Amino acid sequence: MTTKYTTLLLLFVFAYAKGQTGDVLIKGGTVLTITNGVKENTDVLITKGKISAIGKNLKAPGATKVIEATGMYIMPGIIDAHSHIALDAINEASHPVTPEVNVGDAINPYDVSIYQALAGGVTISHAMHGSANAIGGQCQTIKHRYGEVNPDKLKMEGAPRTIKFALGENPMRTHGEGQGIVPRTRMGVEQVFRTAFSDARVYKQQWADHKAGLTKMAPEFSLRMETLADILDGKILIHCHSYRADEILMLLNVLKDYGVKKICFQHVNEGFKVAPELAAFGASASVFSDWWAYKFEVYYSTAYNAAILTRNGVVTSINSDSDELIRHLYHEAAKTQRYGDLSDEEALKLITLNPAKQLGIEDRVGSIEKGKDGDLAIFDKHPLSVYAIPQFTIVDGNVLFDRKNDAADKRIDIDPEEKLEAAFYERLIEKDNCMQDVTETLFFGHQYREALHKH
Amino acid sequence: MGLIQRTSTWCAMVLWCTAAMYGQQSDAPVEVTRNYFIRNAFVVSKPGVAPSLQSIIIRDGIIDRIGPGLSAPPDCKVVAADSMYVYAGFIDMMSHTGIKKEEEKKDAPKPASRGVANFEQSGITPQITALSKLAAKETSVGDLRKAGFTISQVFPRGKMIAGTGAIISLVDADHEDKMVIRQGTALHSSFTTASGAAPSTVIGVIARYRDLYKNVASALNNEETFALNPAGLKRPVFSKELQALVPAYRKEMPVYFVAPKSKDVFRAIDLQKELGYKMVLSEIKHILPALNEVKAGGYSVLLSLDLPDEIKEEGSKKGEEGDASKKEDKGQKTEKKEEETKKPEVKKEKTPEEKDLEARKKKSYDEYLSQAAVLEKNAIPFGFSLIEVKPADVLKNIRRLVKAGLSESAALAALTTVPADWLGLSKTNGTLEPGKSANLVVADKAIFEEKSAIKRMLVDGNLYVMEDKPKGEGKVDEKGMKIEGEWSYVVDVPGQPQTGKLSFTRNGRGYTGTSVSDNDPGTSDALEDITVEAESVKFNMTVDMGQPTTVSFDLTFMTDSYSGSVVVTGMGSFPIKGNKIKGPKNQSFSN
Amino acid sequence: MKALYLLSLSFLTFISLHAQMVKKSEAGPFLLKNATIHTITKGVIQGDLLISGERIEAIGQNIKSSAKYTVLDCTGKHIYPGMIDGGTQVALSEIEAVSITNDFNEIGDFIPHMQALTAVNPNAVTIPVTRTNGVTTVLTGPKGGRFPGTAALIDLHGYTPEQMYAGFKGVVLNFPSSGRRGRFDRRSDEDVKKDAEKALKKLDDIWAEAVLYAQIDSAAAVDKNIKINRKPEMDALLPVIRKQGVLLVEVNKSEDIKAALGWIAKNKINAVLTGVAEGSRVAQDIAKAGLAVITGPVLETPRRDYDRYDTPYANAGNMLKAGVRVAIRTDEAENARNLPFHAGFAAAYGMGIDEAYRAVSIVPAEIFGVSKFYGSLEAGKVANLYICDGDPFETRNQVEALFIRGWKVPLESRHTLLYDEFIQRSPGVK
Repeated sequence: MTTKYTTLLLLFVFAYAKGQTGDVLIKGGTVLTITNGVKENTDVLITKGKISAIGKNLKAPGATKVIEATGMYIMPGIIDAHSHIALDAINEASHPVTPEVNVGDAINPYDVSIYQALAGGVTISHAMHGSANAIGGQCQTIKHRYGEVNPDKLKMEGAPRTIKFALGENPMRTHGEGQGIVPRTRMGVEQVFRTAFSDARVYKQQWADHKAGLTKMAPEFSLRMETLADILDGKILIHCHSYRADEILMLLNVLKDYGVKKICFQHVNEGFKVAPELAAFGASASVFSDWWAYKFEVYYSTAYNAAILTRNGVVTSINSDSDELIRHLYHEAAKTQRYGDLSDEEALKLITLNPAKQLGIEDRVGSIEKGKDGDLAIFDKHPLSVYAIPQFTIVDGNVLFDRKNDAADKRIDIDPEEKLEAAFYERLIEKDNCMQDVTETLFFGHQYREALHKH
Repeated sequence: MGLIQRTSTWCAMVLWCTAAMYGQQSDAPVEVTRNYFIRNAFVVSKPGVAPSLQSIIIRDGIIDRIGPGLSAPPDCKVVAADSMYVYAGFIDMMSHTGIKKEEEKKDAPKPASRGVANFEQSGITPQITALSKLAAKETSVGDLRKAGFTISQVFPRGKMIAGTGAIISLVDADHEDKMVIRQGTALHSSFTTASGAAPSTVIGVIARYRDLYKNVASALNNEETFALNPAGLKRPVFSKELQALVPAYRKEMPVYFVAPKSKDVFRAIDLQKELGYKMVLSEIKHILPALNEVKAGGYSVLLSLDLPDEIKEEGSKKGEEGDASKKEDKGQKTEKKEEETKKPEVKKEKTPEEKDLEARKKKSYDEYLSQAAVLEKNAIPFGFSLIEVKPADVLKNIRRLVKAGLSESAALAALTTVPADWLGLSKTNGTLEPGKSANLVVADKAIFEEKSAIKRMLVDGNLYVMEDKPKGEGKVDEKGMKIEGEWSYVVDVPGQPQTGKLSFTRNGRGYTGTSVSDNDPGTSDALEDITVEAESVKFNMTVDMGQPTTVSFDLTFMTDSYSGSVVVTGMGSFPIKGNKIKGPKNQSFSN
Repeated sequence: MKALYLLSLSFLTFISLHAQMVKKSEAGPFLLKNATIHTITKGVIQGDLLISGERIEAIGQNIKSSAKYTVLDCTGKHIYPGMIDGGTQVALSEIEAVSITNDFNEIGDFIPHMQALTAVNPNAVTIPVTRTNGVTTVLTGPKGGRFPGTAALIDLHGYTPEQMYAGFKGVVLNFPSSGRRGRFDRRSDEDVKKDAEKALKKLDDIWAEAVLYAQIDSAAAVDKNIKINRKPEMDALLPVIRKQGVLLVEVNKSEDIKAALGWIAKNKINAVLTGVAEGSRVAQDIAKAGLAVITGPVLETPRRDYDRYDTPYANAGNMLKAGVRVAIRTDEAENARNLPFHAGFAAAYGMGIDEAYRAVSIVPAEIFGVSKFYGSLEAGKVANLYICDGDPFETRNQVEALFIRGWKVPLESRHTLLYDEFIQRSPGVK
């Protein structure tokens, strides 16, 4: 009895990137560097997780894994600036202002969506809090190190702190309609920000006074106020869910009044209307390629949004906000060629260097350059072709997606009591990641269905 | 109207709870001595020691002597244990044994538009003690004792921070206080969210923990400042919750953090590192992925004994359904056999995909069961927690762990010496030695053998004899389906026993039923969700007590009688028993 | 209440006005010269195509021009038959989250008499948007309960639903599912199973009633003494019971597909399977049953966590390889314009480009029984076609002109109009 099981025990090793060392040589492909043009028939060498050489006829130490990529296209690992995969909690919808929460505390490394994203060439995503609250929670930039079981290992080391804000219908619906508290209108949304920032200034002053010895008794500690103060101090990048032109301008004004400089507007379907203002402020935009009309505030949208923003000098990215779209962001980026005629490089930037800039990680990723992280996506055809199929995806020099050799079932955490028959999901209810958890916490009953609508 | 009357009937069950208890007369038979002689048993004095034939003399709750060839002293009652096995009484480190079941407050509080939900709304109740929620009459006390346990560390039920635990002796007592060995022993923490208020997600819970511990520190500082010289200072606001967290903050009280899944384990470890308290990872179901982190952090672990449902070996039936061990009783088996003989052709060949999936599931299952063995091999200190497991499954499940590689001595240690050590009871409990408390288990076979059954228990020197289940005639038929008819009931509400009738009617493959109270014979309540498994019969009933309240019955039937417990949501659990009035042959109920 | 109603009415009018901003269509005849003509059914032809009235009058080399013709030089360009989306809610939904703008989900579980065509809004803002990518014809239909209504095939051009109607209607059946409704579905495994069994039993009951109703109806037609208690919902099922009409059976989970095949065979129904997300798993069974399939969306996540990541992409191709007749749908309202991309992905993941194009043209036309007029470029067929600068599935390529029933429809939509206005906004900043 015992002998049988001692051998079994040896099997339980949770090995991420089993047998890989972060070294790989990719030979003979067409390299889409993003920052330095297209290089035909070129090798890329990754050593210990970093790109160490780009050139012809590169040599690598004997044991280095080699990918024969002749005829293939190599691009930087795709970056999704707005996603909710790999998270066990998305909306702390209990209050319109919840900057104290951090989705980084709820990373789910077992989410098979991570692998599905890898299979679409996506190596980094911005795991975001939802849009139920005007000031939502802090977000986490993650590397898609699928196979890691420790949630912390997915966090991208050194990535700047980010936080989710939200304007318009979602906070209005969650709190105004749902709970009967401010905000129920866009007027209310503005004042939620102004009040929160004002409170945070008072809080900061109280602590400053205490620390300076002006007051003896310490004020109450509030992680909420601490985080708001950090936002005012520019220590946290704002990513704001927004749609309408007026509300975008409103937030720009609020930020100007409080001296906050950096913001990336998310979705920003009407960003095209205020592209000059966004460019003047230095705000960036992360948009859908073509989603529109699923709710009223996106009725006056255009699939040419990304092109108009780009042409007006706004740093723009295309995001998924969806565990479906994240699997083909290369195709979503290509739509800007149908809708707005962007060049290959402009289109590819939307899913590489530009989102990297928006997340503050452009010195690490987003292009194929020596010294950058070894995150690559390899396609059989040009990635902007509808027929392109990702073949390999590499994170930190480890091949984590290999189309030809991967098993079909890539789950890591298998419920020993699972019922195989019950594992099927119908598509009747749209998944709404941006509003996930809201329904469960606050909206049982008739509003359930309604609240499930997208974004 | 019957409604009002019934309302008062069920309400009465609660009203006595606090008051009636004290005046109770014990109906136990007169005891002439509390000295016992346990004769000629295989004694396993501590884990790792081979059983040897000895006798034990117990005087007034203390083990007096242990040895081979002792003869019965004249002042001792002889407990015939010839060739039986005796172990130190098991110690449960975490459960809700004896804790009254309370209903959640349904009036979901709205969060304030500025500020946060208050402590109670958020499920932060460290000031609640287990003792304040303990009820001596809870049937769970006897249930756990039947499984071999003599001591239990019990915790109040709750959410984020449920409250502090107490170590209790699993004796029948007329008052809770008499059970308590020590209280304020540990703090119960978890990632449980508040319903309808903040925190509503795990990220909200974690943020709240950070806030809390920071504010405990801050409150302590302010107190100190104020104590030093209060002149000109505003008095610090008192908070019973923050006060109650001080021992945990100062690492004087361990935090039992409930973290069943591996992701919870990782999160609990991260949080502990940040906040610094002394942590015991509790009610753990899956820990292997975090093994390195657990080892590095030096955490102690309480493995949940609520194990995955057993997976039957190939060939018996289509494995997809992952047969529950619960379903293993005879009744189900016979039914399955019938189905198979009826349509033997249906057994279709599994696709390669199905086979793969089943293999992966089996691998995961094996991994879960191997965990105790892995912890043992990695020298990670572990015991068991009994939050979710049914007491009757405890030994059965430990045997499954042993089968999966856990050594018998480690298993026994996790039930005896380890908890005695962790709970500071080593001087009095955990092993069988002269001078220690007379807490012991007598089983007919070695406890790790299949079908070993506990026959006697001594808890603090009190003898409990486990009644043999009547066999053959007395048993409900093999399909467990012979309850139709009318049965009397008596619910043991002290001072105010409730009586009435239960009726069951066969309906297809199941049952329908009604309950009529003698106080209100004109009205009947429908019985819902009636399940019959062998002799175990469970069902619910909803009564109106101002709001719809669920009454749950858990009964064990014999041929002509039954007994068990009835739980009134929010009010507690009461013994119930009854006899058959009418059988199927002369049924007279109309509907 | 009344005020609210009036308010919503004015709101809708407002929407309609905006939707009609696109220019009027032009009438032919049109002569398209020197094109690469992808007929789909008769190969690829280098030559000319003449549109006259609402039909294709001729395809061939050097068709003689006439002063009456508007001539378009198509040198280097490609002509394809208009794409047919085999399942959408186009023109039935304006804004999904604003419930009063949704006309695809009536109350009731057994309401096959609800006619999608009735609620088609010829001025829906989605119509011009869908056309711009070469989609000329869609099946638009109801969603919701067991029998949510009757879907209709429409051309994306016209001023009334009748003008748009393209000759096919089908009763929709959502076959009982033994899967979860979504990740939010927290029912126990037992409940999921029980509910499915209950639903199947109820479906059988309804069907037995419908068969009986048809029998009484037939008897009443010849015997005046037999009275029939008329029921519109049963009347709606009569064509299906009598095998004159098609039942569109929405079913996705492999086990359910098998159950549906059994149910269809048992009741001898003229059926088409729709959705069929897990068709790959039971492709042989579907092929054996000889049923056609309208599958999609292709761009969708796997329905089970243990499925291979590309299962939905490869599904159409896998069924085709097993011998199933496959059409592709988007199951979209506002983004049915993505039909070429759904087909493109199916093409890349095993279906091949030619077969994928058939799956959005001639195959759905055949399935809907309209292939005499739709689905390919042949003389005599309805002139639903477009001119493209290359492979229309390829993301970067542009549809340059589009014809529906011989009308040259402007390729304008809200999306292009907003682009035109805002690409260089004036005034800009300050």
